[in-house]
Amino acid sequence: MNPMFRNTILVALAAIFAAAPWALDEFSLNLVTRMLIFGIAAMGVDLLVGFAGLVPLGHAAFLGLGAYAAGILTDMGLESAFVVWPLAIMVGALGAAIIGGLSLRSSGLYFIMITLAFAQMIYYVFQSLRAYGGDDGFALTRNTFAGLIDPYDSRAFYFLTLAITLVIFLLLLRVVASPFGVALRAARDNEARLAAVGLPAFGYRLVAFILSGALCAFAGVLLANLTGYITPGYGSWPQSGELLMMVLLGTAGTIWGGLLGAAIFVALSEVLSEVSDHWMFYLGLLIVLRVLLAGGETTKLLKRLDPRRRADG
Amino acid sequence: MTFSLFVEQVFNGLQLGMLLFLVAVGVTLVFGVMNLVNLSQGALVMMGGFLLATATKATSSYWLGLPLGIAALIVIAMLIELLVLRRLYARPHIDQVLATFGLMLMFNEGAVMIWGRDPVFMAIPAALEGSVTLLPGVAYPIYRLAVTIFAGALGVALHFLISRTRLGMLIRAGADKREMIQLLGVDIAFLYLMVFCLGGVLGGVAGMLLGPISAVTTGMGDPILILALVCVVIGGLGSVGGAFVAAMLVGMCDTFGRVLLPQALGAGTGQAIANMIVYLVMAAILIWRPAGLASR
Amino acid sequence: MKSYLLGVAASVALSGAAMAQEPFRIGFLSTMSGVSGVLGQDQRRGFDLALEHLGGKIGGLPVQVVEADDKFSAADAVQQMSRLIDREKIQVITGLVASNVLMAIAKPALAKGALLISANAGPSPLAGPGCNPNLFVMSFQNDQWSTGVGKYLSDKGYKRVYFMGMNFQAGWDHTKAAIRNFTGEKVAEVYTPVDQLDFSAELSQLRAAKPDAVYAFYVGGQAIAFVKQFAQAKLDIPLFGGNGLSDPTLFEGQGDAAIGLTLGTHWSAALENPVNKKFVDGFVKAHGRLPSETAANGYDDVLMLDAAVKESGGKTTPDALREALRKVKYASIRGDWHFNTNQFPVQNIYMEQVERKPDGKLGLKFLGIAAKDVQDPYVGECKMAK
Repeated sequence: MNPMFRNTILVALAAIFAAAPWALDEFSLNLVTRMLIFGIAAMGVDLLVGFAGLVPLGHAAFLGLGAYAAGILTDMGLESAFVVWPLAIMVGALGAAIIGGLSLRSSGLYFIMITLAFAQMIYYVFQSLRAYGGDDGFALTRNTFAGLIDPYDSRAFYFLTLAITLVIFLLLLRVVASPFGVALRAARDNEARLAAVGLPAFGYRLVAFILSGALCAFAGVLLANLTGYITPGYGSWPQSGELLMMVLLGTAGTIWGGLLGAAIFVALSEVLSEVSDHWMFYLGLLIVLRVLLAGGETTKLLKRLDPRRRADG
Repeated sequence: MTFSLFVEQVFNGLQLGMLLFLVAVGVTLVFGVMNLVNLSQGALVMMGGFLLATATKATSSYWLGLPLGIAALIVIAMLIELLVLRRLYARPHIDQVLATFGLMLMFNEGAVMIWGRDPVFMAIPAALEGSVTLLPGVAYPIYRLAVTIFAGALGVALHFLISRTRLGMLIRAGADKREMIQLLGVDIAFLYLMVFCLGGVLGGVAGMLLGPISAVTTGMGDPILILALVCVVIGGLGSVGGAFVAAMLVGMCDTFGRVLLPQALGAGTGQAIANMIVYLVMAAILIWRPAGLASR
Repeated sequence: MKSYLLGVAASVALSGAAMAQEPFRIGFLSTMSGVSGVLGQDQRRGFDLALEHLGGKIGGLPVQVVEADDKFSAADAVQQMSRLIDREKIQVITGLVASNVLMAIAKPALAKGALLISANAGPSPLAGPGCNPNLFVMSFQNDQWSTGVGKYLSDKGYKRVYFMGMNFQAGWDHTKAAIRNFTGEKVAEVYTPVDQLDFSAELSQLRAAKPDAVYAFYVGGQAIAFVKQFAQAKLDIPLFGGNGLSDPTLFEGQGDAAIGLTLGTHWSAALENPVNKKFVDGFVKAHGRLPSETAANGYDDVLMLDAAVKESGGKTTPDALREALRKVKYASIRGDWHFNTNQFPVQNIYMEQVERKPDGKLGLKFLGIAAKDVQDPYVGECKMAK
């Protein structure tokens, strides 16, 4: 892309996002905040799907872990976001380290199903927390920012989310371009060669898994704060499927695709459900069509990304 | 727990395991032969329930409804394969996961659009009502026993199909020797269609068997799908024998976990762990054998 | 889609016809899709039928209903609540079929100054410390049905009762209230996961324990599965429960297995009074089956709002409606009831039994009042702000 053109787009985007709070009503602004939050999670998932060539069907578990950790810590009397948020993200990362360590010993379809099964296990843990409402969930008082930001001001929360999203986006771009990112892709394309030069693929994949789990946990923390309520549904397996849909609706392997896909998905499910009680049918249909008709870039790129299925096919 | 209660619970566990096996074997066959993950298997379980209920109502006979329902299931499975899955075999896993996830959403809501939101009725056929005395003091419902026996018979038939027939040989050759199969002059497209129909129909039959004891409603297949996927993972992807052993293990662990753990650990903790026991067993097995029980 | 477009069409039509009168705009936030969609859909049917019976007006005002689907999810519910309040500028929200949804939206919606009127969900935390001047629950508090059932079991002389329920807040509320109000021996208290497929293991345990009666709290598809499997086990033990264990939305699914179930409820289709007769007959005519308890709450909700708007002299602001609701009196389909200090109902709990009617369909037989003027046990913990 020509740099002039790219800069024009970036400036235009920045202007749009900066003006959004004044152009939109509170509902729409919250919808945009939600898009950004799911964008963070989808970028995390894209790191695995697009760069490590692994498809996790259980990343909602980390969304849930982040939300529950934030909710429980807040309930215990910690209010400051500066304390609660990092701790909650660390809980997500720790969960990802354990689940990733166990799941990454397998790959391909096996990896998909194992991540799904572990996520179900975590989902049942949430459901059995009677002190925290069990299946009904519990309310969270929004975390405070030492008086710097009013957590109940929708505009302030939007700008905070926007800033976090932007920082994560830029960091991820650096990560995938770094030697780590190169090794990750090398592991995907040819694990044996990477091992031959003394670099174990497992380690790189585990780091990517932890990073993506932590990002989903961060998204969970933000979503819990935006919603003010936490339920086991955050960690349900259809939610994991939706995260993958977001990655696909954008473009896998680009990082920005996660942001775009999350925005499309949130907008789509909002519009469809306002139009029809049978929105689920139409959402399913759109997904199937999107997959079938995607003969273009996404598919070609992804096909290249997945050497394992070519190996056994 | 008395001995007779223990025997009864063993039968309960067997029955749950058999139903899970029917659902899981469809998933594992499709994986083994086509290297494809099929999340729409749960939708086929649900369709089995709805189709049998509708066919039974239309013909006023369970025994006429059964073949009609199975015929309709075959048509649906063929349509899924021909219209959607066929185009996905050469695609990356994420496309397969999402397309079959999309199919699941479509079927779940499609059932609501066709049959409405009120649940559909399905009774135990008259011939299978009542209970039998297994041991002195152990009266067991005939229908549940019939489900176990029928599912077991299907399992045995499947074993012979796979080990003794030409189709079975091709299934066993599976994904590893795809080129060789093509060299033998076998129509791969037709083989795939057959395997998908077989797997889909087994899942649908599980839904049909489940119908009279459970609720025939939208989404009824989803929790079964998840448990079946756990069986597939424990058993080893693509392994029919592994899926069988895993389904029995899951059925027993679930049944006895629900009964014994709350007694042993107190209601709260016991029930919480009972809900998770299946997944804990899975984690333990995967630590021991990362590629499942059937892995070499 | 239909109902949403109807709402819009109605508002367009009304804007011409009733230029002089501002329409009363109501948000209807409920579970309209997915597995639990049947609840919100039936509630809306009752709601719309009452509007029809009132000539499309509430308290003489034209009405505009804006529907929102919470998808049975807390996060979606909060988003939809914001759509109704922030975008549609609606200050009165009703529907609210699911407890988890009401719990999730209560705090943010009340903070925005909205008036919430639940026409189904009545979770215990909101009856106690979480009560709020702008929150009314006009249906029932979870404990109420089973308070009646517990008393009924004691009155009928049952000695040993086995208690079972679904493992979530409503399941605990209902089951524990039944246990509290039962004077005999509790044989066991068992909770099963909300998505359990098969109850064979639990039913085997139950059979071995030989109780005199069983109390069970199950709803939706779980109620179908449990009631069928209970009947198939041929235990010869009477089964009791709240209204959710079997209702006309479940009759088709449960079939003969439902016959003989004895249920505690705040309203029954078999209740004899002219308002209820008009409702039940109208519903059967329109939809071909008896109304469910959620449909009844939807219908009664509109009757109550109609009386409240008349009481407030046509004012529909949250403040005016709140004051009017506190003293509202109207002919309800469930007989006399009134709001307690925590703004949950004080009402009779009736017992009804599922039976086969002469026309071959399943219906309900009225057994009588199990407990008079029942209030929930949490009202003492409510310190209502003025």
